Amino acid sequence: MSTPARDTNQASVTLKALAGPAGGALSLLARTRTVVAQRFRQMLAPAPTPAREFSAGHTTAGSWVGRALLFSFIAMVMAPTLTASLYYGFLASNEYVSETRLTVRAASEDKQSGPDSLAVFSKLGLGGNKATVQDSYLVLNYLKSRSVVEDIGGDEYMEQKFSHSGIDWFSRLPRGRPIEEVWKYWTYHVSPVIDALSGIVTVKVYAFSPEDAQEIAIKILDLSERLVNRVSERSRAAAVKEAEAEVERAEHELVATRSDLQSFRNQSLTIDPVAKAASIGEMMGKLLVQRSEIENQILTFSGALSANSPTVRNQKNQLDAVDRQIAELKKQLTSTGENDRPVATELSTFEQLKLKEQFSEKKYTTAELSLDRAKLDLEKTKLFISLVVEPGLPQYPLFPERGIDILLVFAVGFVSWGILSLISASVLDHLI
Amino acid sequence: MSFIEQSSQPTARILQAMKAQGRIVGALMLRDMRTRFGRSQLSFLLALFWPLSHMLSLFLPFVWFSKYVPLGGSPSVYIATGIAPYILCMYPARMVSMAITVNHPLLMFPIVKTTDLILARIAVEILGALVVISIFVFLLVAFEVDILPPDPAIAVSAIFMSIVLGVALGVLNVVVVSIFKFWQFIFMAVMIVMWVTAGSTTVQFNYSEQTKYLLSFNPLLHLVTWMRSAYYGDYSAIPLSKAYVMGVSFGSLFLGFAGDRLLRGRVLLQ
Repeated sequence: MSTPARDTNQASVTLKALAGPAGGALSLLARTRTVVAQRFRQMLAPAPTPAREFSAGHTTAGSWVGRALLFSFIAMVMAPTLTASLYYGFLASNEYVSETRLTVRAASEDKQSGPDSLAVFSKLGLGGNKATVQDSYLVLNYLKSRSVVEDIGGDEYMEQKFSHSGIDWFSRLPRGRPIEEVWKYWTYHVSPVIDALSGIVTVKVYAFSPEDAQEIAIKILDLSERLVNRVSERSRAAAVKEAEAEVERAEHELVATRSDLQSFRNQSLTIDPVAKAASIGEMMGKLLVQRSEIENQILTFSGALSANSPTVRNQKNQLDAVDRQIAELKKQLTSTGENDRPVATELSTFEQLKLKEQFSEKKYTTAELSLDRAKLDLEKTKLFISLVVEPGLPQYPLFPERGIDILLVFAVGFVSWGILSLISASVLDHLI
Repeated sequence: MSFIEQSSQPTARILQAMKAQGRIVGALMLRDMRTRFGRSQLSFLLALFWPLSHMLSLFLPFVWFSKYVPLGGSPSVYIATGIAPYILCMYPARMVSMAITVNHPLLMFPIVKTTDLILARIAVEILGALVVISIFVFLLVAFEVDILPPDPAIAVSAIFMSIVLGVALGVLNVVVVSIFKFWQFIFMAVMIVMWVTAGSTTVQFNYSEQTKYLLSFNPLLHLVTWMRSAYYGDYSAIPLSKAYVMGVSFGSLFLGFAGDRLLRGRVLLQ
């Protein structure tokens, strides 16, 4: 009994001699080992409590503590471990894992730029290829949600895959359960995990046959694809709708300005006041030339002929007529009379209307162009699922991990038994 | 001892032992509460004030200087849910680990065992931690922080497990400290590392797989994640493993009690 203790003591002495500067710590270690060894022997031996010293007469005192320990050990450690071994050894159904990895990508690489691009794009954030990690989260959340269970076929499909009699009773999905419970079962058998850096979603499907695992994984891929299509379709529809509304607005505006212009023309009885003004100007120019010619002649003849000669009189009459015509034309251009519609006023109104028309024409063509582009670009920015790892057909059942699971049951049992019995032992220390 | 009548029936004797244990632990608890700081009736209030002020002194600056909200709508909630598990874990761990060091003169009474000292400390620390978290929550509610979680059961279980982890680490520490005295300081360093990597005031989503794997060994990070899952639904910096936290807790509780049984305070008294 004392030999090992002496050995350890000797060991500690040797260590101290050998270790030099680190000797302090080492000797502490060695001493600790000695004490631990002694304590361990004392613990294994019946505890030397005062109770035992007092009740030395009771031969049963030690034995019922031992028996209680043994029974509780059997009940809390051995029985669960044995049950677990039996279950994992003979009953538990094999689980096959099919893994697939996917990520969500947008096709478009080009950026929206140029003067014609609509504000709609920047609002919806559709240009470019940026939101893919977020879109992967979309898939992740969908795969964890209740609606994926409903989409895959609900109770019926799940029972077909997880409720048949080939699966052991504990792992089986009970029949006729509400969707919430089926969903919970789903979360135990389908585990999607995302890598936030790359946006790659890894989906593992645990099923009870290799074919089922692969089939469910493929279905999951299909459903994710449909989800992503649904989402991008919806944003696509929204963008095109916005562009179409823009075109309609521009069209209305153009029609309105055109009809304004038309009614103006009808009122002013001119097709184009600009042309009218030009023709008046031209006429005036001609008249002015004529006038200066007449004045020249009058000046030329004034030395030779008397002022009352018929030629001069005739020329003066002509000059008067030309002056009257010029005055008349001037009046037409700029008169401010009440009933008159001078060409200058008409011109400014007309030019405003014309400008408006030009603007709305430009707007309309831009809107039309943008609509075309929206349709085209959205075709390009369509989201799609790209497969990193295809769902494979598992060959070997990875689960249940029988050895580890049995060990785990043993560890849980042993630790809880240990804690309980150690606390009970502390109570029994106070045995009188 | 002789004035108590001995019974030969095992059940009666166990009952007696349990009563004795209860009285001893009760008495030790009362003594523990009164002797935390000096010999005042109010010393336990001081002992509560300590973790509470620690909590607030971490909480207020982080809330004050937080420029953005990492998750959810309120930085206060995010930071409070990160700090609470740390404080609720660290103080019991530290206090329980000193259970024997501080009270070893009491072992002069033959009826007082080291386990009694530890059990009394555990009881006092659990009560203390519950009072501290209640006051903290009360303060936050009083200052109109929306701290009451949508899923109270998860938050309460996270609080409970934080205390259990603290107590369990404390019990293990009692044993280790009685062998290596400087372990107290190493443990402080370990606790600081746990605190820094627990993401109490930061976001930890953009780490690589390997970093996340290493981080997932930090039980405090699991507790913070557990706590926040009560507020943020699908929050997960790492895949939350409640089993891991429980494993660490009950594993070290078992190792601690076993070590205590093995040593029975002898090394310390040498």
